[in-house]
Amino acid sequence: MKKNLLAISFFALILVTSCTKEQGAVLDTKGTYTPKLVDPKEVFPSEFGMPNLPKDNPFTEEGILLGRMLFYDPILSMDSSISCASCHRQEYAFAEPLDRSVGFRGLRASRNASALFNMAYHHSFFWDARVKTLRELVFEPIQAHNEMAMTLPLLNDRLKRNKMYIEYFNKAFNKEPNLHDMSLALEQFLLTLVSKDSRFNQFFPGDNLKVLSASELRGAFIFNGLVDFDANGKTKGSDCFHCHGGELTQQLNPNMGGIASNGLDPAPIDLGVGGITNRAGDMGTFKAPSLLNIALTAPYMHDGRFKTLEEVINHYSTEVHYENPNIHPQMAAHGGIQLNLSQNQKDDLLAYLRSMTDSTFITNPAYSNPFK
Amino acid sequence: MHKTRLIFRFFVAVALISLLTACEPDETAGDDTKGAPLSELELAFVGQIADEPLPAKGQDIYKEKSFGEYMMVTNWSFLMSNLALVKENGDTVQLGDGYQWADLTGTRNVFSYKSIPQGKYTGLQFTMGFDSATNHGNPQVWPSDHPMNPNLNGLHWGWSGGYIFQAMDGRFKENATATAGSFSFHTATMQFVTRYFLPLELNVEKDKHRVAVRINADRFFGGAQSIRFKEKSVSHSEGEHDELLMRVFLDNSLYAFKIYEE
Repeated sequence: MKKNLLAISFFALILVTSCTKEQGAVLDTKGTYTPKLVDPKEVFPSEFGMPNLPKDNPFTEEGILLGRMLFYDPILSMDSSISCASCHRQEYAFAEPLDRSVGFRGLRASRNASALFNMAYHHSFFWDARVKTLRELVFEPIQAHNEMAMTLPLLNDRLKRNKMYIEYFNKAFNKEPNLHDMSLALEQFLLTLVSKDSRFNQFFPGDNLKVLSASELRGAFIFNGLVDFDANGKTKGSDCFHCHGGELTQQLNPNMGGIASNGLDPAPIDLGVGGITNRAGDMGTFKAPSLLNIALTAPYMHDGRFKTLEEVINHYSTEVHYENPNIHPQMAAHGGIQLNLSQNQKDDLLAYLRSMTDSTFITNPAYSNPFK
Repeated sequence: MHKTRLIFRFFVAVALISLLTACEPDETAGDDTKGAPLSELELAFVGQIADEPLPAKGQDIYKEKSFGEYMMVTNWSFLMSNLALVKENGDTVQLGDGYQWADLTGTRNVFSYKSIPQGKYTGLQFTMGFDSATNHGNPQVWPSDHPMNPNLNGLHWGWSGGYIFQAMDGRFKENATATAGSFSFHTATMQFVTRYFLPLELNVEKDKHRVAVRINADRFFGGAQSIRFKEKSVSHSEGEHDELLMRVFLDNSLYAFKIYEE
């Protein structure tokens, strides 16, 4: 009988211990929390491969949750009215349907708010690629006078006096709230935003034809330059894939089309990357965005000039400024001939772009507002 | 007693396996170089036009090529397999795992190999391209920082499968004052896998040696059959027109490489 009781007690102890671990950070007798590590293999799909993650900021349940709380919390702005999520809304794949976001006191942001997903694979951030890590990135909108307009001393003070954040910073980092760990927590949350479940992603790299309709499949051929448009052999389909290729629909090598001018204007207006590097060849070039969820992220381009995907396709069909001195060679090498897509081809291309919408991403509760 | 002997044999077997595993050949060591002192090799790939270094990225500087045309390279990188030093007897000493990605217009063009057996070498070899299984296999199997990872090198086609072995893009002018056009040459598909052997007299005896491979972009377009950009400015290795042009591009490339010990 005693033996049985002992065995039951032992198993009960194991159960209690394992339940505690499942619930998150464990508090030991010295008052130190052990955050629960999250295996990146649970976050990133094998089809995308494993990204090069920051080694000094491992994913933890508590760190990701803290980052999510901070992302949705308006106290990060000067007047506590604007959060990151104000301009990066989940239902729009973390973009928003404005050409330029409205920030502090109604001031407008200088460029269109980018969609946020699959950033773990990126080597640079912002339209002009000026920042290399997400932990650096987060300080820019927080401090920009026309976005959240916050000062760092004030933010530091606010976080330190906030009981909720005292508890959650402690659980995630065993420290009182501070700006460095704030940026690490936001980095963790942003890195875990993964969009992978569109029909395009089920189709890619072309093995699963049944996933797409006939029109979408024709669009895929046009997109990937597999359709000849010109009898002289110079123009081969739309070649969209050079800057928007792969599972991520995004070229990540800046020289291979990851940073490019797509001939929006005869000459650069917004200097883009050139405004950072001050090099002639970079003027008017921008980071090429992913086309996943593109149907959700209107308006388009760095300045939001195109209201619809139809307008975008028209640009690439007949309105490319090949005279732009910095147009990407992969666009212009075909001799500067406009594609002149037929209406059917435009419709097919549009259908293919719409197959890139990931409806599970925009409803995933793991990315939603934790305060609701 | 019998049980004890079994346990003893088990531990001996484990120890032997551990020893064998630990003694897997060094990634750079050839069979007859076991025990030879090791040196470091710094291997640089340097892009040039007409024997002058490529202008710094983003600078709007054109250099003259064949036919009086002027060219500027904005993007030039290539993937290698079977990268190895060749010894006097023809044996090879593989550099790393034999794969490398050289980005001549980026910042990734100098590589360090720390375990080069000392001795005499007669050349450097590499293949631009891969065997079919590698070329058409799942590219996501490569670790995130491996030169073959497509999210790193941006040199995978995805759709039609396979890698772009070499990409060279840029701008050209018909003459010094003409309006600029663009050129784009992407080498891909198994028929264009190209092997290079660069003769070199290298006696590895110091702690560190530096070897530079200097590659002239203009030579890809000037040779037995020159390429005039005004007429032919693009080949992505697909279709009859592209394939003929790519063959000329690659034939010319055999004369574009020079190798030096520095």
